Amino acid sequence: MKKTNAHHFFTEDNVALELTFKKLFMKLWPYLWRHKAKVIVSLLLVGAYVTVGRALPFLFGYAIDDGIKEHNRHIIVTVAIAYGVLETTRAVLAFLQNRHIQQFGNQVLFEIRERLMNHVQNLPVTYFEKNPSGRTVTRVTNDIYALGELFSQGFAAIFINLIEMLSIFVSLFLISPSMTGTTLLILPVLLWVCALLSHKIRLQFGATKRKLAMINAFSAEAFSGIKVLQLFGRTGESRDFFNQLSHEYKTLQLSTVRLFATLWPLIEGFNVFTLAVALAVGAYFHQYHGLSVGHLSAYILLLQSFFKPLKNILERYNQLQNSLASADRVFHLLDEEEESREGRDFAKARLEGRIEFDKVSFRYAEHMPYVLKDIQLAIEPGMSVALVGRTGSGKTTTISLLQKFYDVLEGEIRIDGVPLSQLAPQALRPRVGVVQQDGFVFSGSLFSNISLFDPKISRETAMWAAEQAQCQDILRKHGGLDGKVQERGSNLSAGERQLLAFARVLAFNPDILILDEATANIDSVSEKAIQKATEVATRGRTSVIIAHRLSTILHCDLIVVLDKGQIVEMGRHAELLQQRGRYYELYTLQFWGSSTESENASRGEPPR
Amino acid sequence: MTNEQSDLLKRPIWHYIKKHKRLVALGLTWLFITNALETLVPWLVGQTLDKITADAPLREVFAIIAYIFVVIVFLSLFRFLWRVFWSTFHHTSAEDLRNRSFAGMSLLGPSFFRTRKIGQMISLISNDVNSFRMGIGPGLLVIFDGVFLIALIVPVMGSISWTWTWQTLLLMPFVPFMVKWILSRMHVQYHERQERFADLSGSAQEIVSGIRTIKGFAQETHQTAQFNVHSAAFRHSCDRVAAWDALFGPSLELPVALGSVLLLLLGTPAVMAGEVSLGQFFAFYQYIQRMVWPMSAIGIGLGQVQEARASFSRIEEVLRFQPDVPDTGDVDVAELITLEVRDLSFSYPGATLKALDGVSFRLARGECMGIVGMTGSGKSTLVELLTRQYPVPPGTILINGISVERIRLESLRRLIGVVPQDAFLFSRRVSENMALGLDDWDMDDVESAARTVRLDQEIATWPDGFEALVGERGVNLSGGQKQRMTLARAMVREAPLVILDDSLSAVDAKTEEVILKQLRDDLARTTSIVVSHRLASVRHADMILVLRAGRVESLGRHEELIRVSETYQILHEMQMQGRSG
Repeated sequence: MKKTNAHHFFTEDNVALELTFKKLFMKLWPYLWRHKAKVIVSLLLVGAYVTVGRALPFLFGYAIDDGIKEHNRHIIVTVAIAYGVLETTRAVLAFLQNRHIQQFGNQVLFEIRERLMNHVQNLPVTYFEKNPSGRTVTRVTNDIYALGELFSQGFAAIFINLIEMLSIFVSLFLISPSMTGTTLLILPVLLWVCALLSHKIRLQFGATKRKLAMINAFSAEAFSGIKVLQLFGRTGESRDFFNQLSHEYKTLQLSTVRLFATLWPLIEGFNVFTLAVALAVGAYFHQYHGLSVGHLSAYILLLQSFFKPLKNILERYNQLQNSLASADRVFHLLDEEEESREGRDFAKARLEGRIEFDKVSFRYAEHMPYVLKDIQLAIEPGMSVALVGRTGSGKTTTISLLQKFYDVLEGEIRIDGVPLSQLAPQALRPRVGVVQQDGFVFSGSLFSNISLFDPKISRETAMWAAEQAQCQDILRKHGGLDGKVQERGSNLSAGERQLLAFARVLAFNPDILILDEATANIDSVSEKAIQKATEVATRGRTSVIIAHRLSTILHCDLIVVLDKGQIVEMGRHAELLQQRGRYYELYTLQFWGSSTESENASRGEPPR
Repeated sequence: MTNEQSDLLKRPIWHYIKKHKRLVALGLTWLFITNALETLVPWLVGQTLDKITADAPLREVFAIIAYIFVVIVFLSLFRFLWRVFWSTFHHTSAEDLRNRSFAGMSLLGPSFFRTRKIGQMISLISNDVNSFRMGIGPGLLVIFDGVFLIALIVPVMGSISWTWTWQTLLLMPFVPFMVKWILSRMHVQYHERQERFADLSGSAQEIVSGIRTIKGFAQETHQTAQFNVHSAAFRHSCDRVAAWDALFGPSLELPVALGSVLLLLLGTPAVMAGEVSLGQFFAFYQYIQRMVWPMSAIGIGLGQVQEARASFSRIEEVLRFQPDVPDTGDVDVAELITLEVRDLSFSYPGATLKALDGVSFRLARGECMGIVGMTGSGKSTLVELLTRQYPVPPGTILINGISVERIRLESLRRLIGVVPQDAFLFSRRVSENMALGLDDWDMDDVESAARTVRLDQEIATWPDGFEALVGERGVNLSGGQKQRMTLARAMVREAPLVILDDSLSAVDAKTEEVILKQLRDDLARTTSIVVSHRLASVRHADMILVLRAGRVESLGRHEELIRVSETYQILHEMQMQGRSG
């Protein structure tokens, strides 16, 4: 008997971390150095801030030695005023320095985001097939945000605190080198202990974070499938498992707490310890080497401020170690190879639209089976061709090849006699307009959906295209071209979305039209409109259609029947029916109420 | 609702303090001792300085320093202790709240889940619970820390000089208010930044999802420009956060600075006159500096507690949410003799239109009923009501003559094996997914179900077979494979009533035929309901229910319906033409 209880599958990607703080800094440096002035201003502000801060204890010591002990009221007043001025300056510098560095960081991040977004869009289609969209979006948003934290909370803060420690060290040294040598003798021991504990803390942090990710992933799935869990009486089991995760999470957090509860008192203890040592050594120096009380006071004040930056550094360093993983992913994505932009454009402004497939075979990877095999097909200018076949017969691949989303490796596809391999993708694609099956709709306005923000498309063009594509009803319903379109076009029906896609293609006026007919349930009004739009769009253009509608198929000049990547039949509807071959079989299957492409249909909106 | 739960909802913070009295009391005691020892240090340093100034023998100086060493030992110990005690208190409380939230939500029905995004619920369990923890943990702690320190430091300062004390601390009481004000401003900015971030994510999401469209029209550059609009808005909102953040620290320093300046001006005459020793003057100077933290701590703590309350109100909303179908029944049903629906009308909560209107039918053991109709005719609603995801009026659905609300929910659900429309699978093993509905199972159960749905041969080709993980980390299934697996998942339960809710839509017609035939054999003695948009799937049913706009248009066998039912004829014709209805 088996019992299902081990959901050990919710693990974070455990990619070995290749990035260290140092390497990351080297990667970030070019982005920073592009703004030399800002880097220099940052350094100056930090320097000024630190210097003013160190001057204060000296001032206080001076007040004791030369003011109080000498009973010099004049010096006291001067020192008090100077003290007030310096403190104010320090506060202002602290504000300026902090704000400047953070805002500088924000600017750099903005630039990295832009670069990454450009980069992402230039990645080949294969990248998007391999990587879920959520992952890529996380890189551009969350991971870059984490990178930003690394920069401002990490690098900048650690840097400032280091400078601070250094300046304190120098000041202590200025007062008395030999005393400093004695009091800070113990420092290496402390640093060693800190390093040891820090390492453990980092490991704990990592484990805690992974556990939280597990909790989130587990909950997300449980809530997505809550209906199934309830119907199958599994809510108790999932609750128990959640409680187990939750308990493990708490245990991890508490063991992290214990490490911190050891580390902080240790540092604070060391702080007081050095203070006591300094007092003892100071007493000796006072008696035998004439160290003044003022200097000793200044020394103690400085010494007390020595440990705060150390604490800060440790805290940052430990917490941010985990953000390194995010930064690592960002730079990994930047290293992905972009699709080639090389190649030429067509010589002609307008193409005739002759498409030739010359012994084209294609597979997605070496070890994979062929998706298309020996395709030989000539499409004359102005012809409309229907591709039919079952799921997986190669129809969609054929279209992707025409858009040059993949390179043809065997054989050749030519448009107007020019092999696609010679053309730059960016030159080819605007010539080949595609109306996708689940026409993607962006949030924004109807106009921005037709023009895609391309300034070449004027409002008049868009209006004309919308009318041609039978979008009058949509325009009326949504208040004209500026009508709002919601995310994923959720305020449009499937039919309306496809009409909008038609309008988009017509506005861009391509030489060749490719249409992937929708299989989803479409109401009869849209159905008619789509038929009309198809007629308008194919008029005077070469068109290739993945057809699901009998009416479309009947209108086409040529029907190409694909099966397992090969052309098995070609001809017109009536001829093919007479042949009683594969086309006949497909046609009669439809009678049984199957929609051969319904796999795609189920990809649409979630059932409500 | 249990007593404990209602106490929690009434006063959440107090509830957890009461629950962990010992931890809280001891934690605060250790904290107080720590604070007292901390306060002692400047005083000892002052004493030492006085000895040094007076050129006392080194032996006397070292005697005082020895006290400092003793203090260090105890200080470190108590610092360790309060951290451990207090952390155990708030982390344990958070665990309890987290578990309650999850358990509470997992009992809720569609009226909860349909109006919320998954992300919101995850955020509740991780962010809101954490923010509550921060309030009762670090938040409360720093408030106590601040109060204790003030209570300890002020009298010590007073013992040196009450005049100096009021003069130098004049501005201090403003600090908590200033802290709270800046924090509340920052909070607003954080919120704003979060919204800009959501826009940014939305924009990135659209570009990535629509990448084929963008590439197809070679619009990459224009899209980046569009993305940059959101990116810049986000950056500016980050800049504003940065400005407030940078203001926080320095603004706290100024009252201290003023205090120090006043001490230098007003305090020095007394030192020069010998009324106050130099060491005490030095100690006083340090105490002024030590007063900033307790003052700002109170402000910070109050802010955190306030956030915790806001977070808790979101959690509270969930904990108070009632399941759609209260489990009030007390009858257990082990077999299905009849299923009867009597004049069932239903509209979704908040909707005015009736989703079902006067539906009636009767199904006896071993019978198979098909349900067909256009999109939106009420097919899925009927399945939702039969599986009791929404409450129905008493006496409208009866099993073996017993009205469903009298049957225990768990017992009812054991009676039904349902294959929902959306083929949802879990990131578990193939075998575990199929055996989801069973408490104990062995491989035979799973393997035979796989054969029924014609999945056995495909599974054999996967690297890990039945042990393969489903989803991103394992095998990626096609729509058809997913549907067949959910079908197997229902079959494994061997429930007396099987409901297929349009669950083979992604399987090609030929395979569907084969599966249905197999099912007819397997289910010969089982009662079944088959909802489908393909007429072929229901042709062989004992009776077919045709729904139209929530009403029963007709009920009968294929041969009759094709003559009398208008909807059935339309569906038939559409499918003849090669378009699926």
